[in-house]
Amino acid sequence: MTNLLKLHLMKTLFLVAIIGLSLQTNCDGQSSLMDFSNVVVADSLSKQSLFNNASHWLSGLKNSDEKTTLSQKDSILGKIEGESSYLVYTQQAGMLKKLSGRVSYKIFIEVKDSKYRYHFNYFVFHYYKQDRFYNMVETGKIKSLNDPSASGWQKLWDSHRSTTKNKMKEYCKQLELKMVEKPEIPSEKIIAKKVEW
Amino acid sequence: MKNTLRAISFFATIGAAIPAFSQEAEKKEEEKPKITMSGYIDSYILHAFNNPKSGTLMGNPAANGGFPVGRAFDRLNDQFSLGLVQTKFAYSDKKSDLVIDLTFGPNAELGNFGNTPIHINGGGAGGTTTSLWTPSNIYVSQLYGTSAAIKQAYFTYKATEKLSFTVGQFGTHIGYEVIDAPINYHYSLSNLFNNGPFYHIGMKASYTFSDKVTWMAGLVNNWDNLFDNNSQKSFISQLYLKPKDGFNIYLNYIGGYGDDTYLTTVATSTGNAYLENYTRQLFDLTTGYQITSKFYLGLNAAYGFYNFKATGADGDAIKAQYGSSKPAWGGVALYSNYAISDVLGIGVRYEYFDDENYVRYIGTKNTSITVTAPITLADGHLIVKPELRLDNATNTKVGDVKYYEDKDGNGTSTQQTFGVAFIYKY
Repeated sequence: MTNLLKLHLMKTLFLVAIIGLSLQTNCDGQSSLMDFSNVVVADSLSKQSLFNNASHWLSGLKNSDEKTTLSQKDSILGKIEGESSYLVYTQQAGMLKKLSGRVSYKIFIEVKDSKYRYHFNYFVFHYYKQDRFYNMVETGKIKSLNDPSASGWQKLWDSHRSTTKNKMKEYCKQLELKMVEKPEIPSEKIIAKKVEW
Repeated sequence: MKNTLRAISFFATIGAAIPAFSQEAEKKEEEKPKITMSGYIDSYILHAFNNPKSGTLMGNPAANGGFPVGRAFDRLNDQFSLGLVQTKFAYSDKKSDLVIDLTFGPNAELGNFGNTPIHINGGGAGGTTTSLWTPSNIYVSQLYGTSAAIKQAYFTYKATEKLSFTVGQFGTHIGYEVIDAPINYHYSLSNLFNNGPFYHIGMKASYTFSDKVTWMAGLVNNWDNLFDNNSQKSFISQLYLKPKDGFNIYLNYIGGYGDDTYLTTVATSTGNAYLENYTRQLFDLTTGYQITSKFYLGLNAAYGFYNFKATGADGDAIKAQYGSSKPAWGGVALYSNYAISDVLGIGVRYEYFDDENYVRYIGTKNTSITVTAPITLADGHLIVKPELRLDNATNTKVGDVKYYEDKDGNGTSTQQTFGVAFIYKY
């Protein structure tokens, strides 16, 4: 076995180890707790690139049906913190789909050179009711999504927890894919030179 | 190795495009036109401890010329009773909303009494006399019988994000309680509800200044009536204020000239049409505050009055009938409820209502306390409401009798009921 081959093998094993490390995630939705986090090695990506990628992912989140507000966005510290929320329904589709409530959660993303971590937690369900003008309004009552039981409406509660788990699993996947995006290198502009004839 | 990295980079790029696409698709999904359907049925059984001989909770048959109205919808004693069947369709897109709210059953007819054939065609022999203004051709008016099924039918055009226009038949903006049993905390309805308007036909505009201030104004035919008896329209207005999250204040108004198609008694007795010459106005405050996540407090207060312009013999007749040329009515109700759990709550309503001049329906001064403990089951579809209600009324001016009815059919000042209502919504 040549030295070059040994080097290639070591590099491959190293890459497999990195991928393996990033798969040790709390984003599989298997836990009964609504807590989604991961520490990911992003080899060769600078802190600034990772910060930009995280910001872009959050912009996409804001443009979806979610309402997101950031309490901290510090590129020097490499930290983004905020809260986001989305609506949950009695049914996912069809004519009987009706608003049931709102789920809010905390977002935390921290980046460093070649690595980052993120955490989605504090999932809280906000109760809604129909007011006398037939508008769905928040009642002010809340319930932690970590609570597995909801007497009187267990089936609907399970569906809200399941919706949240699936959504967060998807968000973990989307964020991790976004974070490995390479920064775009601006193409050189062709400037016409004035030459003497 | 280079190829491996290229491959990872390629899949990362493709993958990175997925979230953007997915979120955009979600956004587009939200903007698609939507059709929704909802509704409910309700039924109840009540027992009155005063055991009224007539079998109804309406009151002493000798009160108010034979027309006591002690209860709004829950009128029957010791009977399983069907309330209302509702099917509501709504269409909504970015620029407009459409609502078709159809109701059937006893409470639908009581709630929509101005659209029912007996009111449109008249309750007299052969349906030839009219209790309300109707088109001159009786055969034309009979065609309006199916209108009883329309609780609401309107569309809203959203001209901008802040300005919208609504046209059609819509539920009133006045008051705390509504016809829809699933929305009210208590099953038995207040006198403020029963003696106020239920619905209007007309148009209104709404402007949202901020999420804390909205103003609505509009023109409607009158109250609770498919038709208008003159060309004068009533003006409606609502100012909505939200001082803080969970605290809502509605300042409501309706006023009009000659807009009460039910004021017929005096006109009939004198044969004069002077009742055309009056104004009627109603001011209403409806407010609610979610004090803690479990404790809620609400208040409803209303004051309304007529101003009859007639003079001479007509003016005297009005004063004799109503005690004044500006007879008034009004009341106040305090609501509180506490959510013991997701399944069980308890709420109390105290109400004082004064219609001593009998310009509305109850025709007495009444105080009531209602205690309800709603039990919510089946993922929120089923609500069971055990309820205790105590009423106490003064003697009526018309007939000077005790308002409620005892087991011998005589008057009594109080009525106590206990019952259970069952509401299933979808």
